[in-house]
Parts: sequence; structure tokens; C-alpha cells
Amino acid sequence: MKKFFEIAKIQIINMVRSTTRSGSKNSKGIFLLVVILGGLIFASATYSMGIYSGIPAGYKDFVLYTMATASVLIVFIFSITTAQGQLFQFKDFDLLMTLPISRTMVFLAKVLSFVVIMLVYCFLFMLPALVIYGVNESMGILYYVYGIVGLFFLPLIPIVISSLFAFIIRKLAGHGKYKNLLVNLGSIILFAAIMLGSMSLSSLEGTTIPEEVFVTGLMLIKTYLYPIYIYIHSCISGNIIELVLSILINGGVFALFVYLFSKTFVSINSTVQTGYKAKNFKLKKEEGKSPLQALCEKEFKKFTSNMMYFMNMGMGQVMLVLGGAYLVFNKQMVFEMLTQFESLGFQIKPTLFGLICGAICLFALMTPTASVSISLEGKQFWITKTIPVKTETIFLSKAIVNAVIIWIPSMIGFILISVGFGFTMFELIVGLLLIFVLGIFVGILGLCININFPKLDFDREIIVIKQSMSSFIAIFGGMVVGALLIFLYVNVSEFVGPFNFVMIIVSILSALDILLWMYLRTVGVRKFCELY
Amino acid sequence: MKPMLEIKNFHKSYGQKEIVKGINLEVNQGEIFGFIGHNGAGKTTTIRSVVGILDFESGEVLIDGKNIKTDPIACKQVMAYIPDNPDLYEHLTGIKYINFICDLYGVPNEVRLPRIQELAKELELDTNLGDSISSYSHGMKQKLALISAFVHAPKLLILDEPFVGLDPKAAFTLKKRMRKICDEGCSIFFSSHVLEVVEKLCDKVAILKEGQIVLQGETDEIIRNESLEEIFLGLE
Repeated sequence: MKKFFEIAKIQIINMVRSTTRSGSKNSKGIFLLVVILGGLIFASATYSMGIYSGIPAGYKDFVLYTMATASVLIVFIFSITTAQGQLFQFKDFDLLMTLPISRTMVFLAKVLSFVVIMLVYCFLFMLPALVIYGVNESMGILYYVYGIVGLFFLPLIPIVISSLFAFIIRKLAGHGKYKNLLVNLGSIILFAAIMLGSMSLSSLEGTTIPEEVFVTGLMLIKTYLYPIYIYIHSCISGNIIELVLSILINGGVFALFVYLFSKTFVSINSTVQTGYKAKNFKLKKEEGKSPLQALCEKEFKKFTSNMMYFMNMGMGQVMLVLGGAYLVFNKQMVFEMLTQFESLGFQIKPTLFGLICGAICLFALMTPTASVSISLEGKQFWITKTIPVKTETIFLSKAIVNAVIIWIPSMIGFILISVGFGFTMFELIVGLLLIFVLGIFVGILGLCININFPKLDFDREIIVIKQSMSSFIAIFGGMVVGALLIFLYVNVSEFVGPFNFVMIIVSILSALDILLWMYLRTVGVRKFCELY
Repeated sequence: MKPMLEIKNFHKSYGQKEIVKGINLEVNQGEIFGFIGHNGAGKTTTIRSVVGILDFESGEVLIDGKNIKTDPIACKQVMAYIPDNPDLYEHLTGIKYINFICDLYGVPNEVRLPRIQELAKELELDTNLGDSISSYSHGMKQKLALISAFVHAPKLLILDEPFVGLDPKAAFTLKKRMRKICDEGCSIFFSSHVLEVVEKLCDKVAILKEGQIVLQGETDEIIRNESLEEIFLGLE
């Protein structure tokens, strides 16, 4: 058991250390991490408070059910990608397999470090809701004890389900030439199913009267999400049997998963670590490309061949296209929603145009592939540093790939919506112009962040993609910028109109594109040369 | 003879610690220059600075007469570098990686295929070029890095421990090719711990100890009555 705890400790330390930068600027990284975590707790608290205030008396406990469900959903989504790297593609596989410790223990240590990270997410989203409800309803100490104890077990089932999905996708993909493509495709299908499922639920909600929503919601949670229901109910009622039952259900499913998978994860990892081998390869003449084209191709291949990279940074764009198609097929629902704005003096069509542009901005800002592209050079950075190509060209290739990843899906989604909702030609052009400058902005901004927060020493790429300071700042910073844009839209578009507001944003983004590029060409190039 | 690599009064520190303390050396056209020293002497640091990976405090590095600090692109265009442990883009296949390098160095289409064919056959990697680099062994990655270095016909080749991981046949082929390209006018600057190879292959040798060159000169002049190994150990 001592050996197990040693391994688990090292795994957890590795995961935590990899989140911050090593070296003299570590304190800066920790400070930023604290600020971001604080921001997330604040956002979660504000959201919980908003739900609590909006719920009629007698149904206030719904805030706990809602936030617990949201936490579980977040853990589920985040762990789909994490499970691939953490359980089925880990770098210290050879080392761990040779240690005098059972496979079950190795697997459990791996899963445990994964659970710790997911627990952080769970606590971030659930704890504020527990406190808000507890304070407002004057709950006793037992409520908090049950709440915190049960919370430790809440993410276990979503972790098991997402690991199963990750396992199935891996198994189906095999290890052929198109392995990565198949893994990405499988993940897209899974996300699309989750997204469409939640959209259908939200459309059902709109048809019921408010109080029935809570009754129906509670019934749905009790029927389909029983472990969540029993956990929250035990906290409110103070029933220890329910709490124990909740722990047993979550813990039991998890224990069964560890027991069964510890027997097969060795063969899965062995398969995953075998690269593609071509049959009967013959050399053929290939046409040469310009250095910029070659670099862009290399960057794009990197993006599409790494499932973690694709899922974490590109899924927003997939969701955008799916969401666009969904809106077009549910036009009536959109117009009904917008009639609320009409009563406030807004015109439906221009408001819709503004909202769609806002959504495009938000999804684009959540696609900062360039923000980790320098870090991802990692041990291959010597190649980039020794090729006879200007640093500006290297930056340009990374920014172009990020922009293209945003441009194509955003433009498809926007054109789809423009045709579906009958936007004017002028609106269509301005929208496309917005996407154009936005793609460049996200790419260049990502590079500016990454050049200031590089992380070239890492064991696994997932650490850079999900846990590095650069990706943290880019993704959450992007969300903040997106929220700021929406805030400005709500407050400013009233005076200038949605169309003019979008034009202002296009102008600001164009100016920022130029300024940030100038920064990259000067400070960025200097920092890049100093980097290694 | 025209100098292809000139290192003048070169200093490099990591923080407060000075790793390389003012070294001077010159590699002329057609020469093979062996750079030896114990672990931590500063060989890799010097090599990484010369090829433009690391910045350095003072001194001058000239490649084909051009300064690596002020004219890095022109310098990199004429040289090739292989590190001691060549990590390559694992998501690419071998042939994609070579073509990527060819594109960056502007290797013309008409010479590309015959050069790749010749090098891949020589290093026995021709049947594996369609495989993903992630499936390669350490030695195969080393061979691929060598092909990528030779394919753009550099004027200066800088190698850090090039024989590590190579099978005997590949090591023999590499030595033969190194001599051949130097006879054709290329220059090679390489570090190694295999002193027998350095002794047989190099025209010039420099021994680095604690960041300073303690012995430098023509190999034949250095080894008169003793082997290079004995001389090296005598300096410890």
C-alpha cells in the first residue's frame, strides 16, 4: 500500500507542478492561477446566486440539483479528453510497468491523479452553491459536512462513463493510418450527441409553465441522475443512510471500473503506443512547397493528429456549426425567444444579427490553437530554431492555421444562419469581415500569450494543452473578452444599433490585429530567440 | 583554405555560472573537426549556440563568413545540425518529415527524389519512410535525422554525438559519407565520446575541459606516440 501511495503522490505532484511554470517566474504563474481560480469561484457563486434568487419559494433546493448536474456534466466533458491521455496514452507506461507493484495499483494511481483534477472542477462549481443555499436557508453544520463528504464521490460516475467512451473510441480507431482521424471523429459524434441532447431538453423546458419545470426537472434528476438526487437530498434532509447509499453507488461503480480496466489497460496502452506502419511503401516524387506552406501544413497536421489538441481547442467550432444548423431548423423557437427583446424596444432581425456575431466571437475566442503552438514544439524546438526561416514566418504559420480553424467553420455557420434567417447582403459581408479579423486576432493574441508563458519542458502534450498557464489564460481570458463583448453589446447597442456595434468591434479588432502583430514582430521575435 | 566555421572568444553562462570561458576555433572547408571533452565540459552548449538555438553573451560565431547573431537565416541556410537525441515530429511519416525539411531549405524538385532515394538506401531506411516516426526506434530516428541533414547538401554539418544509437553498419556508412562529403568541399564539426572514431576520422581535434580548450590542433600532430584516448585521459 505504501508503494501505491508513493506512485499516486508522484502522479498528483506531476499534474499539479505541470500546471505552473518552473523556474524563477513560478510565483507569477501561481498568482495567475489563483486569480483565475478565484474568478471561476466568483462566476460560479454569481451564477448560483442568480439561480437561487430566480427560483420561487418552495423550490430553492433546485439550485443545488442544478449546480450538481452542471458539475457532473462539466466533469464528464473535461474527462473525455483527459481520460485519453491519462489512462490510455501515458508516457511513464514503460517505467510503471516494470515496478514491483500490481497493475491494479498502477491503474488506480493513474485514475486517482485524474480524479483529483476533476474534483477541483467539481468543488469550484458546487461549493459556492452549497454555501449560498446553506447560508440563505440557515442550514446546520451537518448539511455542510454531508455536502463536502458527498462531493468527493460526485465526479466518480461521470469519470467512469467518459473513460468508457474514451476506451470505446480508442478501440474502434485501432492503430491504422487514420487512427487519429477516427478518434477525433468519434469524439465529435459524442459531443454532437451531448449537445443536441441538451438542446432538446432546453426546448422542452420552454413549453412548460415555470413551477412545472421544477417538478419535472426534479423528477428527471431522480429518475436518470439518481446518485446526484440522493446526494443532494441527503444534505438537505440530513439522512445519513441516503448519504452512505450515494457514496456506495458512486464508489461501487468506480471500484468495479478500476477492477475491470486494470486488466485491459496494459493491452490498450501497448496498442496505442505502436505507431502506424505502411505496407509496401514506395518513394514517389512530391511537389515542393514554400516554407510558409510547409510550416502551415505541419501545424495543421499537429492539430488534427493530436486528439487532445483537437478536442480542447477545436470543439467550439464544431459546436458552432452544429448550433448554427440547429437554429436554422428551429427558427420558430428563435423568433419566439426574440419577441421578449421586441417588448424592450429591440428589433428582432438586427438583434439576432448582433447575438449571432456575439456567439461567433465567443466560440472563436475559445479556439486559441496558437496559444499552445510554441509550447507544443517541446523537444522538437531545436528544429524550429535551426531552420533557415524568419521567426515572423514561423509566427505567421501558427497564426494562419489558428485563423483558418476559426474561419472555415465560423463562415459556414454564419452563411447557414444568414440564409436561414434572411440577413441582408450588407449584414452578411460585415459578419464575414468580423470572422476574418477575429480569426487573425485569436491567432496573434494566442501567440502573444504563449511567447510570454511558454512551457517547453513537459512529459505529455495534454499538460500544455489543458493545464499550462498559456492555455489557461487564452481560454478563460477569451471567455472574459467574450463576456465583455456581450456586456458592451447589451449596454451600447441600444444607442448605436447592433449593426453599427458590430462595425465598431470589427474596427477595434482590426486595430488590435495590427498592434499585436507589431508586438510579435518586435518583442515576440526577441523573446522567441531567447527561448530554449 | 576558406574557414567555414569561426568561433572567436566565445563565452556562455547559465545565470551566474559561466559554462564556456572564451574559446576560439576554426573549421576550414573540407575539414572534419572533432570536439571532445568530458560530460558537462560545455560541448553541447557550444554547439547549440553555434547553430542558433542558444543566445550567448560575448564572442563571435561566423558561418561561411556570416555572423549567426546578425545574419541567422543566411547561416542556417548553409548548415545542418543534428542533436545528440534527435526528437522529430512524431505525428509525421518519415518521408513527410524529409519533404518538410526539403521545403524549408528550398531543395529543388528535380534533385529531391534521387537524393532521398540514395540516402535512404544507404542508411537502409528506404522501406520505412512511409511509417509514422512514432513507430521508429532510436537508431531509425537518428538515421532519419541524418538523411534530413544530408538531403539539402549543406556546406557545414554540425553533429552532436552522431554515432549514438546507430547500428555498426549505419555507423560505418556515416563515417564513409562524412569523409566523402568533406572531400567534396563540405566541413564537419562534431562532438563525440568515441575517441577511436575521432582519431581516425578527424583532421583537427579540440579538447574542452571545464569550458576551456586545453588542447587543439591537427590530429596527426597531437597523436604522435600516444593514442588520443591516452592524451585525453592524461589531461584529466
